Amino acid sequence: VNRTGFVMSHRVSALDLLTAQHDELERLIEALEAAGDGGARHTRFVALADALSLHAALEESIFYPWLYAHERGVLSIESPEVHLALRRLLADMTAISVEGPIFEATLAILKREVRRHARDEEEGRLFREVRDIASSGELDTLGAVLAFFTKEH
Amino acid sequence: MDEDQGDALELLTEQHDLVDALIEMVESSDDDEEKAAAFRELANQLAAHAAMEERLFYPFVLAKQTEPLLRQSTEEHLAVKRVLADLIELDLDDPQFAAKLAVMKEELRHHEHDEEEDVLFPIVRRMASKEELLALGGEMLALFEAILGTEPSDRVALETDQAAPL
Repeated sequence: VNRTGFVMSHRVSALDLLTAQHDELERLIEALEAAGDGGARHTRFVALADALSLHAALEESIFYPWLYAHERGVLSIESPEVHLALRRLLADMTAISVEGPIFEATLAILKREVRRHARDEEEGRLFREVRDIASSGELDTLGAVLAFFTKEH
Repeated sequence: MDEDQGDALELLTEQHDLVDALIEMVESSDDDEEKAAAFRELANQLAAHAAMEERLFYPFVLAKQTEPLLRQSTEEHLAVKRVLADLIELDLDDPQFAAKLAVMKEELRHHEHDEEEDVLFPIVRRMASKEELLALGGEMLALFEAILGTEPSDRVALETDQAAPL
């Protein structure tokens, strides 16, 4: 487990790794929702913001370009737009108190958007088509690259 | 629509349906001019609708029970205005346009239907009388039309820093 809480293993398919990161983001959001006082809440928010930023950066700098090189037609161009919405929400939350009602309202939207992003990729056509175009060996190799950068973060 | 036709909630639901229809038009039109006109109308409708809700509807229905919902609603308006401001800057045939429109459509679907119509409106129906909602509907429609006449989409980019106050 690295600093962001993403669990590393030696041999993992890229899609399993990304799915595990989506699950971890949802877990971090639930931990933040459950946090009581300001100190713990702030720590959990920073952990969430780090993990989300890392996940978005990995997808954008490694996964989507790989996909684009592999098969242009498959690339979901909606995901980067959802990442943009998520970053805007994180930026709003960074600028305000972690205990106010605005933080809570923004967190509720962030949670929904993270779930939607995960569902869009995992259950939508993106992951399905990736399985069609890439062999499990290729997905393991991509998984190793993603795992490496997750660990180096 | 005449002022005496609907109450505040019926007016909002009609506006939501019109926005949905305009999005469909923008998505499905293969005529550049028609697409551009539908998008301009969509942008103005959305901007005027959000301003009307923020200035009249939310203050009217603000109560202890509705406050968390309304906070979320104003934050959702902010998210929609940001995507809308992006869309206004893009060419209609830019591939990012379709992606951003899809993201905005999903945000609106949740905000308009799952939250306002399904959760907020039933609470408001219990809080306010039919007469009050009719009077409010008239005021809202008048404000909406006044705002709509001023090309409100031109000002969306100025409202992307923070959510409207409650």
